[in-house]
Amino acid sequence: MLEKLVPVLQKPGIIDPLLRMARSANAMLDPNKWRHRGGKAMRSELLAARERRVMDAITMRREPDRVPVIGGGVNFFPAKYAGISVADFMFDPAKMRRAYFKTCEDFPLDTSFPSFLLAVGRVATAAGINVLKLPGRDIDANSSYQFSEVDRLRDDEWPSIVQGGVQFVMGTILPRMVDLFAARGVARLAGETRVVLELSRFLSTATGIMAEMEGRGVYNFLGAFAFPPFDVMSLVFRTLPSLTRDLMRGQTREYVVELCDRMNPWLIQIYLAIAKATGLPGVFFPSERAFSLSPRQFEQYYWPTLRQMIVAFVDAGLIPFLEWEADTTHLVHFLKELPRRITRRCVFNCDASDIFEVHKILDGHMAITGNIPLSTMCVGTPRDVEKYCDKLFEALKPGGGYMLCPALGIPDEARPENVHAMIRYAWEHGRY
Amino acid sequence: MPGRSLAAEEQALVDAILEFDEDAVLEQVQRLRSGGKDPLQIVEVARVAMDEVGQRFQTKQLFLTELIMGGELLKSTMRALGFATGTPARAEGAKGKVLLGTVAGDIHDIGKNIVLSLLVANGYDVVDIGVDVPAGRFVEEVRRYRPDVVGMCGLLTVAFDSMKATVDALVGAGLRDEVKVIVGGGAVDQKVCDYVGADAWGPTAADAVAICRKWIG
Repeated sequence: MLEKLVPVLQKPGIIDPLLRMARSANAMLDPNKWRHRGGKAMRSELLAARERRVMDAITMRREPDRVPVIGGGVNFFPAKYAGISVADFMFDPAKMRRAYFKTCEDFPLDTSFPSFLLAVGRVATAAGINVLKLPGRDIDANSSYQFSEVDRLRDDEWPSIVQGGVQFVMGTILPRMVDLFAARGVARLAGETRVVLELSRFLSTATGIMAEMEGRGVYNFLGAFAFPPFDVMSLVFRTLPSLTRDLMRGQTREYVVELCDRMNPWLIQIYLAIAKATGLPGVFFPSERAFSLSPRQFEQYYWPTLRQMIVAFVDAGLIPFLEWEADTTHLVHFLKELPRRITRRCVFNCDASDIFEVHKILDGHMAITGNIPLSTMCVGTPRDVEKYCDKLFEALKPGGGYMLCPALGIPDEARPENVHAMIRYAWEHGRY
Repeated sequence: MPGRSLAAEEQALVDAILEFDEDAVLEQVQRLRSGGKDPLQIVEVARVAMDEVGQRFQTKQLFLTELIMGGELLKSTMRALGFATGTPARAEGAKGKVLLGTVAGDIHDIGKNIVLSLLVANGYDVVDIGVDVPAGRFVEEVRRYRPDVVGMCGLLTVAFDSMKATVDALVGAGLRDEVKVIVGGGAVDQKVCDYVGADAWGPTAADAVAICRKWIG
């Protein structure tokens, strides 16, 4: 029998695919093996398998071979894991690169957040971007960057911004966000030169890392960011309390709606240009303020422009990764208004919403990820992680359209053994 | 005010606050004032509305923006009646003292400020020591103000270790047994509460107030 089988297997086109399948299965079953087997072909197979697995889950065209386990949203976990400060990660490209790849090597995720794109400390400092408080510069070196929320649009300036539009934003608001735009003459010229220099350094580092990732089998599909107009308004123009006061007053309520509508085409154009420049299909859509709104407010102030934005990105061939922070269970039903041709090209990243309820509401409309509590990842044990994964898999694994991930990506302070536990869980229990 | 049913014009003020329309609120305040209603009684009516906002928030009938609006409308009412709206440090006759701050490494203050306004609205004396507050500063302020409760806030996961360091510092300074410690914000839950060594955690600002009420009346 064996003598008859060997010649058949030796025929061209039979043995190679079988061997490849065996290798892939091996690599997929053991999260550590692929690192030791070496070889470029092995890694490109790994890359292809990861991409297929993630895309199968997102598009829901079929069940993936197993549940993808991903790194999710913004995080500085690589800095903490590699033992460098967040400030070093943001300002020192060599340290950042080592930390990033060490983390990629030690935690074989199917796709992870491209944390190297956060290393914008030098560019932001050269430009004098004051919208962000940066570690080591404005806040503790081990803290993540944070938005500096002040009223850059003052109470009495609503009529000016609505009437003046882009000109007012460029002439009045931007100089309040970026010191360089307030500078004139030689100072402006010198500042712009520094920014160009730092930007070219940043891009050179980022493109170098992206090229190297492929050779290392690291798959990443997320590139650009896209904040919806309401979030731009409440993170950059107005503080949340001020914007909330605006929503209590008839006249400013109308201004908020009008400004969101007028900003949206501009924002879409800018975000699309950046997304296309990255060459990556995924676009990170953080919704930091949606949770604070009632369904009625969301429908009035937030959803119309976000909806346009999502449709524009999918129509451009991109994949919105919708990270809705905090508990947004009361708003998720809005996503069902989008047709399936749109939703099957999106991911819903569930932070603290009731993911089981979200799963019922979305009902196969859109892929879901997230929800392992950040507290479990940071102060829990591997057993706690496994117990939570049990619950997630029981409800969300069947039928595909699900990726295992902590609530908002791997938190900066995650215990490494907990991240390993999450990955191991997907490998051991995620097969379809 | 508790236990007494509201007159029609008082109910109109409560309704205006629950509609979150500032113009309507100010109109009702003016109407009550013109009718000879005592300003302190009008503020009490606004507090009744604010209590209702807090309860509806806890049962998820209202959401964060509306909770903030409720606090703002209470302030608008007080301003319209000529009362100061700042934090009444060491208020006379307060129910108890609460020290509030966002811990080291975190500058988020929205949650802290909501807790603050709800506590003040409920008659507590609240001392706000700001954001990015190191453990040592919490200890100093506890020594200075001798609060009944220390509230620590933080949105980021970096706050977990800062909260723990703060509780450890209170233990080190021999002050831990003199205060109750409550934590809240972002990803804080029972696990974090246990990890940092706090006495309780509040998933919402309204919960924080309920816990303080249980502890200090």
